[in-house]
Amino acid sequence: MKALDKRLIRTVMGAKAQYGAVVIIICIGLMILTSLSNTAQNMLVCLDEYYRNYRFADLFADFTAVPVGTVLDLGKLREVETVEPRIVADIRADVGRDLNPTLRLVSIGPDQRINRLYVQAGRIPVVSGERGIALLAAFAEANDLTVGDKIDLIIRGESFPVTVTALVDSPEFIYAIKDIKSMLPDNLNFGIGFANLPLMQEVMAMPGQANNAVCLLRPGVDAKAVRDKIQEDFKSRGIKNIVTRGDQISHALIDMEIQQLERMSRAVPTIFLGIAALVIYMLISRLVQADRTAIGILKATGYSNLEVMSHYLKLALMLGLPGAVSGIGAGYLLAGSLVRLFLEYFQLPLLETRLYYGFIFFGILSTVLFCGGTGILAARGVLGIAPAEAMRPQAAPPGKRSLLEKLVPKLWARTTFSWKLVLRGIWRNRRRFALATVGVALAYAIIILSLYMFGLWDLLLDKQFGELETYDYAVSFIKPVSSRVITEMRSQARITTIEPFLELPFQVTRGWREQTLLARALPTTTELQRFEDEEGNFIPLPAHGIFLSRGLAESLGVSRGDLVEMSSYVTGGKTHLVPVKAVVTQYLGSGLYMSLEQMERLTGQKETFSGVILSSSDDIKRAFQSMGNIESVYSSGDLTDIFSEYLGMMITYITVLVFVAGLLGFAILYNTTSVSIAERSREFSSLRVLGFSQKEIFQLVTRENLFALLAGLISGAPLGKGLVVLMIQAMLAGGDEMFYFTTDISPGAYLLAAVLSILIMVLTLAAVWQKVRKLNFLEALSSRLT
Amino acid sequence: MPQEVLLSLNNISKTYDMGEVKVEALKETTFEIYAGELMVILGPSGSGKSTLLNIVGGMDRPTLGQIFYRGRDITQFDEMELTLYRRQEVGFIFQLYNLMSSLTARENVELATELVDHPLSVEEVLAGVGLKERMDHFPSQLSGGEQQRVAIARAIAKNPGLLLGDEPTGALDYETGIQILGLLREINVSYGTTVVIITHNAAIADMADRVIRLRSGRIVEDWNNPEPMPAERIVW
Repeated sequence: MKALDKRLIRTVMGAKAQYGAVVIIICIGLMILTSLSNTAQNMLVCLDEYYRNYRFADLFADFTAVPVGTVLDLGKLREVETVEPRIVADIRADVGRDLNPTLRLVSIGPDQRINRLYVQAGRIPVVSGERGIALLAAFAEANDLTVGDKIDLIIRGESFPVTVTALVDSPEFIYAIKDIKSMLPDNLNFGIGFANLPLMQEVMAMPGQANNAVCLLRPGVDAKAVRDKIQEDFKSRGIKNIVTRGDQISHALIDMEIQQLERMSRAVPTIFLGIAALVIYMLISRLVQADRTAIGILKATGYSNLEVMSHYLKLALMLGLPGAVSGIGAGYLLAGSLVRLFLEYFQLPLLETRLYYGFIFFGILSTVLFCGGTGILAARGVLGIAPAEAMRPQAAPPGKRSLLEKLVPKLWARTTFSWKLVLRGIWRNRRRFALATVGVALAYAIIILSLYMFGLWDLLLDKQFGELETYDYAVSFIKPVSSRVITEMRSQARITTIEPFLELPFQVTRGWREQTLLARALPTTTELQRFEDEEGNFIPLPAHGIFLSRGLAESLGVSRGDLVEMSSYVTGGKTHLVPVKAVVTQYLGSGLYMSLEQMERLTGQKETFSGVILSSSDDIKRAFQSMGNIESVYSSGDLTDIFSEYLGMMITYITVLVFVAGLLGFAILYNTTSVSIAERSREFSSLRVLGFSQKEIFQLVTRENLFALLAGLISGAPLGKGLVVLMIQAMLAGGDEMFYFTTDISPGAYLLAAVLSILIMVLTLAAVWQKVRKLNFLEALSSRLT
Repeated sequence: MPQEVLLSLNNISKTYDMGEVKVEALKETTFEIYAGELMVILGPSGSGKSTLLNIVGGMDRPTLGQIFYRGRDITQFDEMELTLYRRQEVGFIFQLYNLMSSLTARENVELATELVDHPLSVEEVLAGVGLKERMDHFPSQLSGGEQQRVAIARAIAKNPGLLLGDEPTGALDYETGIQILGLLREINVSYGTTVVIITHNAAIADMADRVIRLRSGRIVEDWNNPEPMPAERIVW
């Protein structure tokens, strides 16, 4: 090994904690990169295979109750390969607990040609008329149901007992949610049940009829074109709504989830590598300064600039590559179980876990670019050092009056000597002070980011349910009702406020962009649903026009004042031009809102409601249990619970992030402070010779750090905010309609982050105290070595 | 026998621009260094001797004038050629030894030998400077004199044509200083290396083949010493 390389290794070994911290930062960054990338890639591949093997449909159409023959006519289109007529209906099921969950009954054909079920246990009840049901496994598990159990389907007030014959997964219901508004699966209260078509026709009293169809298209066919064609052709034959696979709820959500994972797998490591690069820059640029004489000697001996620079570049890579290799290794070890965790969470049948080794190359390349780049930047200082530097000790920095001395000489005169020393030291070593400040600011900013991420969901829930949707319960009816229902409901429970709403599906088009979604119409006087415009003002629902949530508006490319085309089976296919009166903030989910009057103008439906929202302190679920026609009752508490369950995984992940942030913070502060001690051993030794005690020197460092802490906290706050904005931008890069992440950071988060930063500083100072105590001042003073 | 000119300085001036003032460190200095001689350049601090050494060693460029090393004008060299000149032709010994603290004596010497194609044997050179038993010690485990021996070994192991010493005894006690000077003469004789020592210590001039005295950037004396004194007889 070359002598210079030996020196490098000994330099690193002599400051293991400092360099080790950088290696750990890189290691964690790469671990996150490789494990998340592999997880996302596996999810994509699994999903793809799942869809292919289980023949996931290309088109999903809702009809009014029509003869099966009408639906089968879809198969006559030459683009359609297979069509399956179905009945899909939401009913209540008595599963033996006090509240009856909603069950979406979906009929299955005898030969499972489309959307085949993945059987976890039992067998699929395909025998014609068989009184059996296959339940979505997640729902069965949440409700403690297993093969052989009996449940009652409650339809039109009547009970139909059926036997659970199988627990299954379905490519159509990976994300089993009732509608786009529910956002997250609630397996306890909503599930899917599969029964054969004849049984469904019998219990739903729809003999010879169907109300839904799924189609597989021939390869290479444009699904959207077929959809539009069917929509047109079947306009008068009972078609209500038709969506392509891309707009199918379960698929759209899981697709979004995977994209989010992919973005995270890039954004988080970028932050880690960026921080590592910054620390490496600090370490190397200061090492170069400290090595002036050594560099002079090397140059005098005949080493070229390039050779000396590559010495320091090697140091950067010596930190980067072991960090990358260990991180990648750990990432691949972790990937297997992370993939399984995600697949399990999404109820994706575990087909095969594969590791994609292309990310190794990507990880190494990113590390080399980040670390190498900063290494070169930091080692540039070598160029400015002349070989003649070896001939003389570095000149003392010029003693200048500090700014404070010049500006307020009187105050300066009254400052004690030791404080003067501190202030002058800061003024004379502004670069060192700036680096210490950057250290604190970074630590503070990272903790702010972690705390923000940690509190993000709570914040969203608070905003959504505390400020926008202020009702306690949302009740949906199976069949539309009149306003009489309000009086009826008031008689059954103590209700403070109750407002009806009407929800109908619409196709919303603007230019070439379009969305199929559920529009909710409310009274203009609504108090339970509030709307916040883009400037943050609460605005009333107008009688004319619509409100669009921000994500929707963005995906449609509309802003306030634009006109959109709206059509629906309820409008008889007629298209209306409707003005967008405002783009409103919605933290969870997306939505299109209008007044009941506007809905009436579009659909002609008057005095008809599909549900109510209400405020009540009573247990509404129990109170309305016996009421027929109720499809579902959701409380804001339910939603919070569902979110919390979903968040279990997120919280674990974020706890790790906070811990890592603490580690990073400590690493950064420790680095800046200990480098400063190493540089100043001669200065401290002189002070010791002058008669300063160890304690007084420690005090000096502490006071300097106190200023750095203060400056760091002040500059770290906007930096933290910046990181939050960057993170959110990275997470939303694909245009996310489901969530609106406010980048507001609570004062509490700033405060807690500050307390944690101060704690880290205290820990660092404890380490510094050890260094000061161990400082051999005689040796430091007599040192002729470099 | 006519002596071979190793290095020839032709009207060398060096001016440092210190913002408002210009400092003339060397003023139209002209002299020659002959191959194989041991030259001492004498002068008080500020006389320009370090500047002269830096320029001769290819570490700094003159403001005016030319320097020919074996007939090649090194003032016309680009950065890489200067680096190669330092690498192949020059060995430096510093007043403050300037060893790398994290490398052993042997490794400090290797630092230099790794640069050239035909270095001397590291072990032999270290044995030659009397450090046979202490090759694997770190600088902090060596005395000042021993450290300076390592520095000398580092300078000569490249087998340079020119060995430049900047106050090589400046940080050493009298006895050690004398030993080091003796060692430099020995190298001069046994390897035939041209040695240039700059110092403010006039007593050292007694051992030189040739002496140049500098004052305020000008040569004020240049004489040959027909009978150089052995180093061990020098007294100061």
